[in-house]
Amino acid sequence: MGIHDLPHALAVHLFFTLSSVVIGLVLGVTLGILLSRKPKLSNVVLPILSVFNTVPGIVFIGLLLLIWGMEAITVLVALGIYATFPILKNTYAGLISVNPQYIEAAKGCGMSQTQQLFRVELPLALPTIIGGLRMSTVYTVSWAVLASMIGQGGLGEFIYAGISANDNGLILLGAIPAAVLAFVLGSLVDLLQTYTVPKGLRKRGSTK
Amino acid sequence: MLRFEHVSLSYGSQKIIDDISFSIEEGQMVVLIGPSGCGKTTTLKMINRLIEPSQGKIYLNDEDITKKDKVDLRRHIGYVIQQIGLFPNMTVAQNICVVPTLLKYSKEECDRIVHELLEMVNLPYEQYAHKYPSEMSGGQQQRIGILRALAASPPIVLMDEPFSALDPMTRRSLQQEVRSLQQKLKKTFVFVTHDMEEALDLADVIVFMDRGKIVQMAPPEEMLAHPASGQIQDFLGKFIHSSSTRTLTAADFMRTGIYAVSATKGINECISKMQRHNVDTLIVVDDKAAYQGTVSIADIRLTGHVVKSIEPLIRCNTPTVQTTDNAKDCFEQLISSGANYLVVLDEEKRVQGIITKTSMASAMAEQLWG
Ligand SMILES: Nc1ncnc2c1ncn2[C@@H]1O[C@H](COP(=O)(O)OP(=O)(O)OP(=O)(O)O)[C@@H](O)[C@H]1O
Ligand SMILES: [Mg+2]
Repeated sequence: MGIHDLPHALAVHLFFTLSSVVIGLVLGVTLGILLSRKPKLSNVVLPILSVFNTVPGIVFIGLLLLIWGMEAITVLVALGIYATFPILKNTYAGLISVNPQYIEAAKGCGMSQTQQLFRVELPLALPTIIGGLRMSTVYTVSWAVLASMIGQGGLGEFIYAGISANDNGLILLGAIPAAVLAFVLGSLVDLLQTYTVPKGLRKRGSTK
Repeated sequence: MLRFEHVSLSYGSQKIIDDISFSIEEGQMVVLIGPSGCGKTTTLKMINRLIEPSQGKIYLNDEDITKKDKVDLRRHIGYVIQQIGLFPNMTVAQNICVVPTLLKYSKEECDRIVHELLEMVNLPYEQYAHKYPSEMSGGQQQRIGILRALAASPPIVLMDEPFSALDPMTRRSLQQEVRSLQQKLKKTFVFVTHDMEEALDLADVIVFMDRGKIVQMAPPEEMLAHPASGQIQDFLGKFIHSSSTRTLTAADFMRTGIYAVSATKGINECISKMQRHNVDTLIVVDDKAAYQGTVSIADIRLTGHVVKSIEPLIRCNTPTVQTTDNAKDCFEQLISSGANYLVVLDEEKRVQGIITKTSMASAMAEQLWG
């Protein structure tokens, strides 16, 4: 195990991270929208999800392991579900905090429910949703370390190997690229934020 | 054009709208006014079905609005909400064209509409069309909010206190703009306000509401002349005086609490009454309280030894007017006749009061200074 294994490990790590974030994005936004249409249901569902969210990732992966075994799918499902939480929460929060005056205006103009969602509510909630995406991305980079626990590779391999061999250099070889990856992906999401958030919503004078 | 038939709305046991019926002609500017919480916004929102009545029917062009598709109905009714509500994620041009876009107008058509409308409110296209609402002043946003409602040329436009947040100058100029737009476009406007001056300025018809009921529905002049309740009078406040000098009558100017005697009364009784009240004439009435004439202390002194009752001394040379007579005419009559006072009679010739120069002056002072 050495530096020549790094590119491959990094690629695997990136693959797990990005796939899980995409799963999380699709699930999170969809569920967030559905829940925001049903405030009563959300009052029940959201607290349950929060509790679920606090189950340590390692326990969850362990449970899924019993079902699917030491496979990549186990990692993807576990990470995907974890990536869903922040996005779902932010989508929901973003949508329900849209000022009612815009909803009333949209209805009054004769928009259908769908038009109202896509032309007004989602664009207005977008900064919050992307905030959730950022959180999700950064977390997933660190959760993906767990993949190596069930022999699926990634930067975690260095860390676990380092711990068992009591080799700090090996630990850092895994940890530093993971930190850099989190930083780079986080910055990419920030960039996305700047380009996709409607111009009228960007605060004047702020560069972020 | 628009007709409410026995429309009521309750939230639980609370009646928000209580059996209102009215109708509006095409091309009218109708202003809903009343104290806060009386149901103006609710009434307005029932027209585009943002709120559904619990009882009664609303007809637009003789069609029951509940029979129409909600979304389609709203695309053909302009709506200006109280908080402006321009979509912050859209430019001015996109905001104006929200409804035309929903109705699938072509790009060129939308562009033409934006040009035309911005020009109408004196906002140059080049300068404003591609700005975002957050880059505009409150007054400019409010204008765009109104344009958004007009863009697809709906035959009817609903406006909920569209000027409430503006300074008086901007407000005045926007009011004039709306008025001239309405006259130019010949649309039916239903306009909510709690500002009586705005209502009097803009309205063809004012609908005054209180606690979910219509108290009075009348053109401004009529409401000023005959407010249906004390509350409306309070709302009209200062306008009722300054704007209605033409309609002041003798009744507004007369002094009541006058001293009358019956024609059959004796001389002595009259003299003592005059002395008691410190007056030099008394008004004489018959047993049905109808006016007979006047009797003066001078005449009594002259002939008092000869007659016992005042009947022969009654003179009819004091001018009389009706309570409903124009105040200005009364004033002229008082000055030109040289009489000390005018006697004011009602339809049954009963004496209601007198107009003296003093009563005239004090009534005028009251009109002027309140
Ligand atoms: N969802 C609701 N549930 C219960 N009561 C309501 C609801 N919406 C409005 N009301 C009540 O209905 C009444 C009429 O409200 P509405 O908004 O039509 O008043 P308004 O005349 O527009 O008042 P304002 O001048 O303050 O805007 C008020 O007393 C209000 O408290
Ligand atoms: Mg209101």
